[in-house]
Amino acid sequence: MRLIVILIVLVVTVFVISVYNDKSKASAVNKPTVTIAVSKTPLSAPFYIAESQGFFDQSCVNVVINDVIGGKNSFEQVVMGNADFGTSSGSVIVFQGMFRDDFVSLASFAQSDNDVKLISHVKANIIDSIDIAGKRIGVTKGASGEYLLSTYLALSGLTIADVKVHSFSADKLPQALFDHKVDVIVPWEPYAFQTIQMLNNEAKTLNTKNLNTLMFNLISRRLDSTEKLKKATCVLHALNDAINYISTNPDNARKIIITRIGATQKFIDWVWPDYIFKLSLNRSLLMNLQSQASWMLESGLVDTVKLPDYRLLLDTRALKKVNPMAVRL
Amino acid sequence: MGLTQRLYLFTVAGFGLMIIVFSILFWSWKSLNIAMEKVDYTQRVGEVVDQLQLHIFTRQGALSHQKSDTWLTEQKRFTEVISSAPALTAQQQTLQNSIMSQNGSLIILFKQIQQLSDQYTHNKIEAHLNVRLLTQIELIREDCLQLASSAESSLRYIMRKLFYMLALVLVLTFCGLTWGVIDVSRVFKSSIKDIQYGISDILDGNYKKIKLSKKSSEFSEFVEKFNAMSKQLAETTVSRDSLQALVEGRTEALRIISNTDPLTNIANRRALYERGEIEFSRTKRHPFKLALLMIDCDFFKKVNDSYGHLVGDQVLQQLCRTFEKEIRDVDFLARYGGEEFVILLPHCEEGGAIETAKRLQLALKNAPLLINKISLNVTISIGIAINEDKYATFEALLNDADNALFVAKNNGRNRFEIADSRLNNQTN
Repeated sequence: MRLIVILIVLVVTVFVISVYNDKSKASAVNKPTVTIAVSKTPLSAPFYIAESQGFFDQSCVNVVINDVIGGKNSFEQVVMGNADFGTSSGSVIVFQGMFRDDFVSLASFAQSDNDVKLISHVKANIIDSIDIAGKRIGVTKGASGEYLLSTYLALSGLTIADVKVHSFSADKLPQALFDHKVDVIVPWEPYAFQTIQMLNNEAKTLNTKNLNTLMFNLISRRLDSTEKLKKATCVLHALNDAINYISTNPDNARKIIITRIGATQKFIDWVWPDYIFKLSLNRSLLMNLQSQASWMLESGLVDTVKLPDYRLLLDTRALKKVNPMAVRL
Repeated sequence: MGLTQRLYLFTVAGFGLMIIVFSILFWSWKSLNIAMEKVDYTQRVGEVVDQLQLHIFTRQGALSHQKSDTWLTEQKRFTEVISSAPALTAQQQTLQNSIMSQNGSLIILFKQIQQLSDQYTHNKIEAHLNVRLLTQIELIREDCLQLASSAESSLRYIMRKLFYMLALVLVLTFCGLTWGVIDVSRVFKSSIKDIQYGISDILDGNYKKIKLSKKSSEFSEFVEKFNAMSKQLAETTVSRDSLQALVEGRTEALRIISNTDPLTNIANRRALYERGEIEFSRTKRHPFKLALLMIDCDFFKKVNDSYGHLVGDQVLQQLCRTFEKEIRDVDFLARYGGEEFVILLPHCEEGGAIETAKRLQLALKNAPLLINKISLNVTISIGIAINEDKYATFEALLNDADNALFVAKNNGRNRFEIADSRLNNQTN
């Protein structure tokens, strides 16, 4: 009798496991695939963690990550239809929001008040913000560097017009400073760290901490279908798991990032303390976007007359499903 | 397991459950305290953040030293509050780190604004930084709210967990107690029932051993002693039935002794009369005949005188064995006295009686008696009487047979005579 019961239990267990496996396999095959253009920076850590720890595999979509340089490129990939989702800073949203409204931010997943830096060549002899007047500045147009520069200038009553702005893509900025093409560059990480490494004692980091809070967002084109909303929810679920992983396993998370983006331990140790990883879509983000936009308008960085309603560029639906506590708008 | 052990087990289990319940309550009290600390903490942070935000709004315009000092005092208070954070989960610690980091930015930003305010020339950037300051505070407030939600969620989770754990313990306790009560009650009921059956068996005279269907050391000990007592009783007590059987056996033996002739081991005269009365009565109720043969061993005195009484006795015994062989099972052979025998032949007409008489005589003729290597030719004389309506009693019938025997003897022996009506009339 006991033997029969054990046999029945075994048969049922094997049946349930096989059905579960079949279902899992079937669901893995039937899952839609989404492409995410991820800016290759430690700020994108949640994506790399989700990828390495299989959080994307556990979610309801298959994810392909396309590494790009900078949030602006990521944005372009999204709006051109080459990627379903992307990672962009608030500054990119502010700039792009003035010209188009076919995209939305789904959540802010990382923030830092020291990611974008002003680095000068020691030979430029810049001690205070007033000393920057008339200098050649290398900056990536339409990104957070431009906003930081204008703010820094304003501290001494200067404007963009008081300096000579040269536009470079983010990865070219260190070389531009090294080659003396410019006196100051406004790079973000990891290019700021690369610049310091490249120029060693000849580079000087100006004090810009807290002048700008960089908020990194998950963006997409407007979620005009239930299917797209579902995909976004799946991605956010995986990101939420990844952020929890970073909280509970910070050391492992750092190692994963070092391996994934080919960074050094020294670099990660340099930037990591400035980073806060959390999913949110709050009023502070809106305020940040609006204040940046107002500042850009007042500083003459943009020519538009009327500022857009950035509230319309924030889509809270997906994040509310994943973590309702993280939405306050 | 004994009842006492069961009770001990229940007591220990009860203590165990009490310890579990107390542990759960203690753990819950600690967890609730921690959760409440978190909730208190988030409330305190929220209050100070609100104050900071309020001071930013009220100090719009010129930033006086007094306003600045007030704000810095509030900010210092805020720093103190967030430095006294309780133990947090990893996710909550992320929010706490965010709050701490934002607070650092807050101070730097405020000092930056203060510096610009002193210069009276940078109203635009000052206003912008003011907005940034508000944004920073909003960020802190949002983190604080999220932390509060998380703390409340932990609190709710702990409460729910506490409820489920207590419910589980209560259900387990209830099930355990119910099982225990049922088990003890079953042991009690079945043991008492077994003992009742045992007692009933003894009352009925069946000294069976009691077997407990549910073992318990207490009842087992009791039953062991009971069985020992039952065994002793069985050994020392004669039951009513066996006594009755004994009496009946003895009575039967006595009856057989009193109705049996000790020499020939056939019915004696008393038995003859008893059976004769019965058979005679039966002929009165039913229409069939009863024949009676009265037999006398011829010249038996000579045998005694010639060979001794022992041989004489053996002659009588062998005569009986011969008679027994030649009569039917329903026939009745009895020793009437001395060398005289009577055979009752129920359901037998005169022809049958004559046939039997001839067969007896023939048997003796064909097989002489062999006693102590002495062959003796013994003959018998037979008087036959057939029951008819004229006979009022069995004795009358017997008497007629005796008369017929007398005639047979007188007519030369080794023959039979049938009683006729004349004889009967004479007898009667």
